Amino acid sequence: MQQTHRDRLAAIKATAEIEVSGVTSKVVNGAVVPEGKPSYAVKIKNEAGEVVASASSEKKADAYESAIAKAEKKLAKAEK
Amino acid sequence: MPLTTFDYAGQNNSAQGNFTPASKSGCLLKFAGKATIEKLRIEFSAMSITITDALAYASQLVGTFAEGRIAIIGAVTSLAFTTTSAIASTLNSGVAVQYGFGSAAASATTLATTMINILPGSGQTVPTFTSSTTINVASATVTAAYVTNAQSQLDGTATAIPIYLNLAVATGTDIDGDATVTVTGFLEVTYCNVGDY
Repeated sequence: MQQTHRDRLAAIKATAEIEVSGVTSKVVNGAVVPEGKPSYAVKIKNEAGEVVASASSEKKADAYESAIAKAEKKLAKAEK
Repeated sequence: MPLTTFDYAGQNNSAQGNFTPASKSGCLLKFAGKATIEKLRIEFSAMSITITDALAYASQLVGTFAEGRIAIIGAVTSLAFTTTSAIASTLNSGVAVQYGFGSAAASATTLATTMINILPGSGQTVPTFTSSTTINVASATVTAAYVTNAQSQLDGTATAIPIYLNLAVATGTDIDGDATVTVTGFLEVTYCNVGDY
């Protein structure tokens, strides 16, 4: 996860988890390579471990950005 | 008398070494050859491996035993890993990466079973290294050994047993793009090929 995303998560006291789907692996010339088109699902959890936001995308950075933005909005509302 | 001259084919059974054949028609003792304990050393000099973002694990074939059942007696390794791709956008700085040697290529972000059955041994705690904090600067050298109470025999009678160096980034948030790491160090494996059929 990029440092800017880590910093934003720290600011709202949250953590991120990511799951990858749609991809398998095979060995080619002695090395493993991915097969398929990966999709990334990000969950943002608060300090209590509850999922407060989630998002998915074919681009990992976009999945983080979307999920973190949702979490920031939700946690900001909760503070008001 | 050199051992290679022993061959009891067509002769009367007679004791050989610590083994005494049964006195039974149709049961013949033959010398099948010497079983030698071999020690191989594979040296790595900035060997590159790509950890893809999509998989977050990687493998590199480093060699293959001759066909037969391979009894692993022990193994030791000393390795230094260097991230040579941009740290901020690939393998993050100072994160734990699992490594091990196995007869199968990595297939999960947590190494286990045949992915580590040559070192540290199936069922054992998987060793880790800490990724580079500066591009092209090696992280601390790590050492590990084959650790198991049960002797490991790998069945390479049908297909010769390969050795893969496997890496895995267990925490998915620690990698953001395809990462290249180089490996410098060695693997030593002491083993016996107990036979083939």
